[in-house]
Amino acid sequence: MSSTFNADVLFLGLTAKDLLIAGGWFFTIIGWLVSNAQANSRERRKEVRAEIDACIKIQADLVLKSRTYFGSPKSDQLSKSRAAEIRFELQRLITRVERLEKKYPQFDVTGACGELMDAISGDPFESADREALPADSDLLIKIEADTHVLIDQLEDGFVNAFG
Amino acid sequence: MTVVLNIAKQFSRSPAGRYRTDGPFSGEAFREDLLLPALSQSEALEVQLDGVLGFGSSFLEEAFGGLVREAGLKADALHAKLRISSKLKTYEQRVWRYVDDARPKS
Repeated sequence: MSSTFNADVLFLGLTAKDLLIAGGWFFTIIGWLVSNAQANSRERRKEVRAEIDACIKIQADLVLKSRTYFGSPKSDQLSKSRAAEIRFELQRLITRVERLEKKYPQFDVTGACGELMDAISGDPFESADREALPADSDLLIKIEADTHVLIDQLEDGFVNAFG
Repeated sequence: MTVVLNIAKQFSRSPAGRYRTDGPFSGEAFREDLLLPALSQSEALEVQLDGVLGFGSSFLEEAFGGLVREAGLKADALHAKLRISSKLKTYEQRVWRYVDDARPKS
């Protein structure tokens, strides 16, 4: 019985030339996959950053609107429409923040969101015997403090998710 | 059988305020006119929050916390009988917090 031995074949019937060609393709594909994953991650990071910035802007608007609303008396003609605007924006904020939390488990913001909701729309919100509050009232200070807490938790979530 | 109560369709898309004196679609009005009768006439009740343009805590607290504080219902019994349905977890969590934190008027 005779057997032939081909010194050019190095691995699974492939010659050194074949291996070099296959290796070239292999590293090209790996490089492409890595660069694609990095680009996707950068895009995701940018999108989440933009979403957080949008949430922070809504919160800043809510603080301003709360200051105007609670700073004016119930008798103010605009009181009702201001209250409706605040309720609307609160709902938009909650929706966006919860969407982030659902997509990225590193965000844990529902509790802080609920606390802010209570501060803004709890008593004396929409009360018939509401009186105008001074700018340094406990309620307005609490609204600002709860806003900071939620912003910080959004920022923490971003750092946890994207480093 | 579960009875369904949809706030937006059966009460208002824009509920507001705590007491009847605050407006026609207050938490007190919702609790007394719709929620309590529905609870007493059903074995299980699902309250749907979706479709409303936004809730204030004062409305939700009076409507649901008021079940314990004003109507004297037990929080445990409410957990067994009442289901809150909402796309937003925050609203659902707040409702149960108001129920659990409320104390009956002595």
